[in-house]
Amino acid sequence: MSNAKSWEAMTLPELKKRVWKTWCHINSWKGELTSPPESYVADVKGFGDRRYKKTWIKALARFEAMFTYETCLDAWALISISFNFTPGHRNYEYRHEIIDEFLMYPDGLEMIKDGLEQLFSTGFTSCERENANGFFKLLEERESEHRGIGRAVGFNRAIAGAGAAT
Amino acid sequence: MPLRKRVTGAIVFRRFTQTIKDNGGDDEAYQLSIQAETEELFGCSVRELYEGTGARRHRRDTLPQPAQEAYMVNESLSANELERLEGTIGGESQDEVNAQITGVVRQQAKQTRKWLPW
Repeated sequence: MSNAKSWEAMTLPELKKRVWKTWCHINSWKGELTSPPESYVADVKGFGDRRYKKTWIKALARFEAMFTYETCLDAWALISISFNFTPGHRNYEYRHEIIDEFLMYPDGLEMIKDGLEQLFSTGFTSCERENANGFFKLLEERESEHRGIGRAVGFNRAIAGAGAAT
Repeated sequence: MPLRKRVTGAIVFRRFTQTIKDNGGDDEAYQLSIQAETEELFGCSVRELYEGTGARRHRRDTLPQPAQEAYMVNESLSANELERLEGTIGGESQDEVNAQITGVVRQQAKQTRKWLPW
């Protein structure tokens, strides 16, 4: 219940700051940037007009998904740490967009399945499994919104405007 | 007799993640720490380590034994250091806290690397 605290919507300047930070994480080596800032501008432009918030949301979701994918050492940690979205999580507001992006990786769904398998196999305490509650809540939300978690989700959402439901 | 378990890489890793949390680190601190220790210990990214060793991605028990041992040693020592620092790590923002935690892990990994045979 303590997780039921309200969260505040991210302002555009905050969002931009976060996009920059995440881009830096995926474009650095031993703490030093490996790409020039011009690449950052070009990368964000690739998501659309930078005057609109939706462009920055897309960039954040893609970069966060990429960072999680690239640094995933143990699949179970995806469930109980990276995607354990609770209202206090820094990316709570854009949790669905991030999962959608993650599922665009050919083995994204497989990684999530492996993570669940690991978490519910051996050696994990019930307390550790509870850490996955944020992820399960997210699944519930997706279920009720008919988003599912299969690979087709990203595709369905992308063409949602066309009303192409299955 | 107290109930004790044989220590495995998974048990060490869980203690390591717990110490990150206990020092105020969030999921980003965890990801940055994994990134930092992998860069320092192996000179590559997590993805490259999995690809280069033919291991099954995101299952560390499929990595070659020396790699698993390197992670285990480094995470054990980093957890000791983070436990020692508990209550002293702070900052004005979550980013600052995360950066300090990642810094501790990176420093430890640089030291650990010196003792590795590669």
